[in-house]
Amino acid sequence: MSNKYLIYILLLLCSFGGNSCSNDEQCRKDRYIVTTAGIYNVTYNPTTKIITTTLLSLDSITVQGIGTDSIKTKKNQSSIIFSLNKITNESDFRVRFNEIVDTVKILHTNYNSYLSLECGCLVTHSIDTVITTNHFIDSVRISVHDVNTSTSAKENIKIYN
Amino acid sequence: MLKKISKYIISLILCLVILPIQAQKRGQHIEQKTDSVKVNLYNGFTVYADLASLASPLFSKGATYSYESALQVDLLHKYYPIVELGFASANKLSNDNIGFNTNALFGRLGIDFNLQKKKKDSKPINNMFQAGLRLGMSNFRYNITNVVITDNYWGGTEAIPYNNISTTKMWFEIIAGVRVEIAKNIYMGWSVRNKNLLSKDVANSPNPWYIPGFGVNSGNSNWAINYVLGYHF
Repeated sequence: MSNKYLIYILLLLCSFGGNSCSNDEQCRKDRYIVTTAGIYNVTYNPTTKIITTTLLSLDSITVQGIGTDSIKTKKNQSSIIFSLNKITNESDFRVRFNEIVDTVKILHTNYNSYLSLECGCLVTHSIDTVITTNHFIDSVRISVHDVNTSTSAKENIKIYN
Repeated sequence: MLKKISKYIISLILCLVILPIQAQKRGQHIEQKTDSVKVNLYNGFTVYADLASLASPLFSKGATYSYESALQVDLLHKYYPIVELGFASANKLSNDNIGFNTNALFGRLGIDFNLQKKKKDSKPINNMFQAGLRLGMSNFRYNITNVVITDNYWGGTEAIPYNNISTTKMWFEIIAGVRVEIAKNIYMGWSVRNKNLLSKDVANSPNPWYIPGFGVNSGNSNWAINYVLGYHF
């Protein structure tokens, strides 16, 4: 047998071998999904006629999903993290900004994404509408509608005081 | 990835087609000098059964099994076109109790090349070192069961059914191995296969965990070993 052939075949098999990998039945895919809202203060300077938007840091922010027992309080925060409902398309929160309470209703569409046998299913969202009471909150704007693994570092909602 | 695959295929064609032709030319040169034994174009066919696949449930803890056989034609004792047919089944339960099951037929078409160098004026020998290519295909249906979404924050669960999904998968294989005539017309041999999917999975879709004839679909290439027993007609 020609050694030359054997070397060619071994090289080919080895080159493909680099792509193969064992299946260890562990989920290693990114499944972190979070909806983030930043809190901003808007000031208008009548002299210069310039509107300035600055990130507002609050002493205390408490978030509670209405109908849940979970209450999360954070100190010196300028953003809120919401957990959207994976089963229904509406998530209602009671948010306490220092001592002022507002209700935030987020209407969203859920998408089920099958990842693998090891990882199961992931639910991503698309935010359709945000409705709030206006005690602390002046207005809201949806900056990033999609809530998925690639948007976890982005701010989805802007809350203006 | 497609570029990578085409690069591999081109290299393979170069190795498996051009080099044997060069070898043939060298062989012809020798024949002119030595009046070697004449080789027929058609030299019968061999039916093989794969014994290694019978042991596959041991490696997959009973989650998969596969049976396959092949029919191979001998042309010039150098080229061996082959048809492989098999049946495979999978019934797997993940750590989170998500189930996958399928069973289907699969087929492969391809060719092996005998790399054994024939000595001057010698009779054709029936043992060979081989290299080959296969194109495999399976059309099958599968179920993914017990996929449940649980919302720990709001409470509640939702089951998502993925039943009776139909798909067709194609792949190619690179093969190297040995065939030996252990008794008159009875052959035994082994081969190592590297399998690469041509049909890519769609992201975030319920893709199959197992592909009959290809093996576990981990998104990368698969390795397999065949150990065959055959009879030459």
